[in-house]
Amino acid sequence: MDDLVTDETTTFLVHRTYAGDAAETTAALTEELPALAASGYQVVGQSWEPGRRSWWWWLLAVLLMPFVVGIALLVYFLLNPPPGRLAVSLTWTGFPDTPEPGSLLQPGAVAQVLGKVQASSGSEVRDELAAQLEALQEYLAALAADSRATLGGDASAAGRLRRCLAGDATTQLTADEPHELPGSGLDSVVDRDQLALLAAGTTWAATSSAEAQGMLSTLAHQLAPLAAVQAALAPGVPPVQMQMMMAGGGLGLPVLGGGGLPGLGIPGLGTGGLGGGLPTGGIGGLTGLGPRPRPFLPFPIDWFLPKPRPVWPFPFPPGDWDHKPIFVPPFLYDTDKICAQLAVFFMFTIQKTSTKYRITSISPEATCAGGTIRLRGTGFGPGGVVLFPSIHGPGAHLPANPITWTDTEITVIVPGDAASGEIRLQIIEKTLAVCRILLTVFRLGTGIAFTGGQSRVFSITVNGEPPPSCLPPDTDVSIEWVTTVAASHAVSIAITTPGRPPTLVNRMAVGADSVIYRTPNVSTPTTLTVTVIVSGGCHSAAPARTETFAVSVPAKLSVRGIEVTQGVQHFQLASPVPPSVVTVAGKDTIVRVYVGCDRNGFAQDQLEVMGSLRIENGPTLMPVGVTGTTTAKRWTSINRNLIGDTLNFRIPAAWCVGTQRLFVNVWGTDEGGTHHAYGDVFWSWEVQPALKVRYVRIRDGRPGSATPGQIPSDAQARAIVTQAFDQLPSPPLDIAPAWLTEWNTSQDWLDAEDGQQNLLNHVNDQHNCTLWESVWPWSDPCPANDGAKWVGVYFEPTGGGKAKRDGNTCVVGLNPLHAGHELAHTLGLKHVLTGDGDTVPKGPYDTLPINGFIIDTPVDPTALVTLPVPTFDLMSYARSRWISPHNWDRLRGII
Amino acid sequence: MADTETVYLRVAGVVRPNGRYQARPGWFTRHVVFQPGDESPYEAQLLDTLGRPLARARMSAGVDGCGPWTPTGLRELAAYLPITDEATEVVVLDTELDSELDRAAIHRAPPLLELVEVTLTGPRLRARWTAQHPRQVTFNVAFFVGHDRAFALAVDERSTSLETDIGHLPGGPECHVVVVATDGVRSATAISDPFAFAGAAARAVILAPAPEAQFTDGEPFSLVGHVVDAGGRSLDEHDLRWTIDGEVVAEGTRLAGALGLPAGMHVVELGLATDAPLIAASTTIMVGAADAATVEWRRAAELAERTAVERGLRT
Repeated sequence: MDDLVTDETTTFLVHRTYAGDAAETTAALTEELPALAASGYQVVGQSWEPGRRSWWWWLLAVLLMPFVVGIALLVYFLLNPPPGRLAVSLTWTGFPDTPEPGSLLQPGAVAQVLGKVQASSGSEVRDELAAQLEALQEYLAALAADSRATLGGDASAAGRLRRCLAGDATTQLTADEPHELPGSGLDSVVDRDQLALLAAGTTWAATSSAEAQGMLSTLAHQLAPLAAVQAALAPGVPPVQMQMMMAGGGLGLPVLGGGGLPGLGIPGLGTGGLGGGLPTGGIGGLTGLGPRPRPFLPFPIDWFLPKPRPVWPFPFPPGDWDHKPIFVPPFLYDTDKICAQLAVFFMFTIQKTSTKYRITSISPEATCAGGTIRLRGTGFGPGGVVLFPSIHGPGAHLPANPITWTDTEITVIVPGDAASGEIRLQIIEKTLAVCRILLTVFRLGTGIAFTGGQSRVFSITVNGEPPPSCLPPDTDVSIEWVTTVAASHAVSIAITTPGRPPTLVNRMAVGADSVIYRTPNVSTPTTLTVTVIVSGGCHSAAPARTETFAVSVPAKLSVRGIEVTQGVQHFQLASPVPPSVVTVAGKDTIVRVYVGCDRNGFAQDQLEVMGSLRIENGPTLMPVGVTGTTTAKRWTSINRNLIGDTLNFRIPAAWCVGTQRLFVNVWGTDEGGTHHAYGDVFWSWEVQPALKVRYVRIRDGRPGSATPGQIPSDAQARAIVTQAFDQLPSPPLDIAPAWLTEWNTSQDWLDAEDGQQNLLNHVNDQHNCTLWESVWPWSDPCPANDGAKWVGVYFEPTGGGKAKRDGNTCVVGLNPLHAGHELAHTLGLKHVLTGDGDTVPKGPYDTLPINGFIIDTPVDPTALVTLPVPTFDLMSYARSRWISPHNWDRLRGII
Repeated sequence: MADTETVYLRVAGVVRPNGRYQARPGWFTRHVVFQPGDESPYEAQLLDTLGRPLARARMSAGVDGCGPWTPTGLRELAAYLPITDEATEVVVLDTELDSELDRAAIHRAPPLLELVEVTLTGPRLRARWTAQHPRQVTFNVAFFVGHDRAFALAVDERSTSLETDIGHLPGGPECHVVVVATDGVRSATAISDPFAFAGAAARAVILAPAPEAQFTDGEPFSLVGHVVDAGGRSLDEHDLRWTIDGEVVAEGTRLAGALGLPAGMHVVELGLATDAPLIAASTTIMVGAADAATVEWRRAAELAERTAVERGLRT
């Protein structure tokens, strides 16, 4: 099959030829037809030409007839005719009503590829690939922008394209050459229309046909890596194969190390040219481009291409715009390359007859708005528009209609918003349609400096970044500004920072300029203010601009640890230990997030941070606590004993079930912007029975009581009992008033012996079935057994309590910790001796490791406070008590 | 410890810190609800007419809970001794001090107890009984629903009648009033004829959210609750039904999550999916509109999540 040939005279008629016998060529055509039809091409004619053997072959056979060889040769010729040729003519009828999306880099393609890479190769490889794809994306966007500008008549854009693609080392861009990058993404840059635009602009920028073909060649090779992306997106390509393809494709995967794209003619990644150059210099940063990047045809792309073939004939006669090359981006199917191919052909045709304009003089040079100027030169053509530099930006131009226009002279009035700078012309060279785009090609040429109009300070940046940006302290930074251009205008710059005398700099208005400045050596954030004033032009007061930058060290945040606890948990920041205290399903759970901050010692390595916790397939939670924020700090400074040193979340009980993945996001904003840190953890909750508790509210009937008749409210009693569950490995799901909702007592509950004992016995008698044991066997063995623990709650703010150990009744004051203690007694736990000088409780005792001392910092999940050091087990009489991991585990086995 | 043939005498009392022993009522029983206590130096013995021990048992000392340690704390003692006809006395001894703490005679016959009236007028229960015994007798009175649920109506009662409201208790087709009379050692039991009592309906209990709880719109919270009958037993959660503002949000669970309520006042209700009689529970909560800080947090949280996805850290 031959390559595409376009009929010059009929714009939308193309011819294709297929070599082979009749069956082979028909099959090849049939195979291509659907794709051609999808792009709007229809067959309008075809002819079959059988293969013919040259006459001298026949002569040779006849001459050799006396020998046996001649006869054999003749027989062979008769039986094996040479390949024939099927010629097909196609006409473009326009795209179907719903054109198919381009096959290359659909929206989301990059994300999809990265996802596949992550799945098969992990985050590191993925990140590497992502960085290189992003660089390629920026590069192509810059090329596309310059192509559009070149077609619009922008000679400087054309120069940049030539320097990038023609590789003329003598005209390479400088880093400070201004260039604005468009924000378009890779997905939008390389569709078929964009590619046609790119090819057209590249051809228009060339100064000769040889240069054009060289630039197109370079462009084709630079686009080659995208073939690997496209191939990876093909349906059915499994991750492993895709990984191989990407590695083979050289998109920065380990096969090519960090070099990645340099092999494709984008050397910036390896040398720093791209990274440093793009933000300010645009594609000027790509100065490492060689005159001819080495061809890049990795084997996966070879798979993908229909077949390898020469891109165009060599050698190519220089200056011959009649000889049109074939532009074949190696990753495109034939149907997609047609538009680009057409664009190239058309631009060659236009190049053949076009000329360049040149403005040689302007008078008067310094004219303000409303004044008339005269431009002289050559190649102005029959008409057009004068483009004045504008006060609206360094790249902006104001079109002005001329008063008079000849091929060598123009008169025009200076518009109101004209600025000093270069005057250019806008002369339409040709308008043509290529596939779905309408191209207007403007004549390239040479403008002239204009010192009239207004002056402006367009921008002030530091290290290429506009405010608000963050400058490192005690470091040389580049302060840059962009003004209108006029050799006769002066620019004065004032740089101020608190505590220092201002630094003053005077320069000429050359457009983009810069100065090196050392930022103050500070340990807390400060400011750097830059004022730029440009004098000259049509003003009574010189225009000025002031920008303020921050001097600071941006924070690096990290999630150093995630502690999931229902009150006590094993956790260490320094040397992580597996969390071994089981959490119970159906119980509120606290998540403490330890956030590290590193600012190289700046601002004490601190930053105020917020965060969120997302439960996979569940809600996203806000931090809880007084402020809901924390101060991230150097991780070695984080104090686990301080609840405020962590970001804290409360997971409602309903989501504390099964195994969940918890995603933590943390963010904080400093002078350098907003910084993020991430973490996640899988967490499981164990199903534990809900301890059944019924409460009895006890009314104060004590003789001489100061609060006669007082009784805890239902809400108070319920809260005491519910909060007591903070100490128990059981969900508080089965709490209710007892059938005996109230009990009147005359017993003195402050009497730890008789009074409390009697009160306990009285309540217990109401609950315990011992009273009815003599009724058996008429009754059930324990007819009063409701399976619940009864908690009698009396109105005593200081707490206190007494319980039937291993029984089912206790009485407590208004203290949930005491309620937990007494409930634990009913579950069989005995007192614990701390040996720490605390009050010695009644025996008998349980023996706990370290006398019940809790090494880990307990967290009261209700009050959301940490408990002080030392804290001992709940069953002790220590000043600070909480359920220890040891007794927590014991109770899990009991409840 | 117990078998159906043996009759035990429950011996119980309290040793006070001053060493004084105070007997608590005991009774004869074929069944023992044993509450384990610690081994103690106290012992109960049954003696025959000649003072010879017929049976002895170490008394369990229930040390009830809390308070500072003291050398001699209050202790509750209990023991069960297999009773025989020969037993005439029961004694409680402190084996450490080798002293006798208490001695009581075992009367030859139990109290002669008879329930003479049990009437139910609405929820009002009236019971009257007679008891004949040479010694002072006290009574424990219970309301039984069937044979397996007892609710104490009176303990250590000295009068022979009782009138009380049982409207808060569960009911059933076969209810009884049971009176246990004891002279401190020997006991008798009287059980009324069965009678039907409708009883109180089950009651739903919402543990969370708390009444008047306040949330921010979109804030997740838990619904926790259950249904208990009038006797305190939890009903199967299978029939539970949660509604918010009349809309069913969860069924068949004590614990459910609620999320995304709009700003305003909302009524959370817990009831049953069946027609069983129930006192449903409801609580009113207030969901407030997110303040500026919350709105800002949400925006930042979404951005952070998006950034995480873009960085390939999340899917």
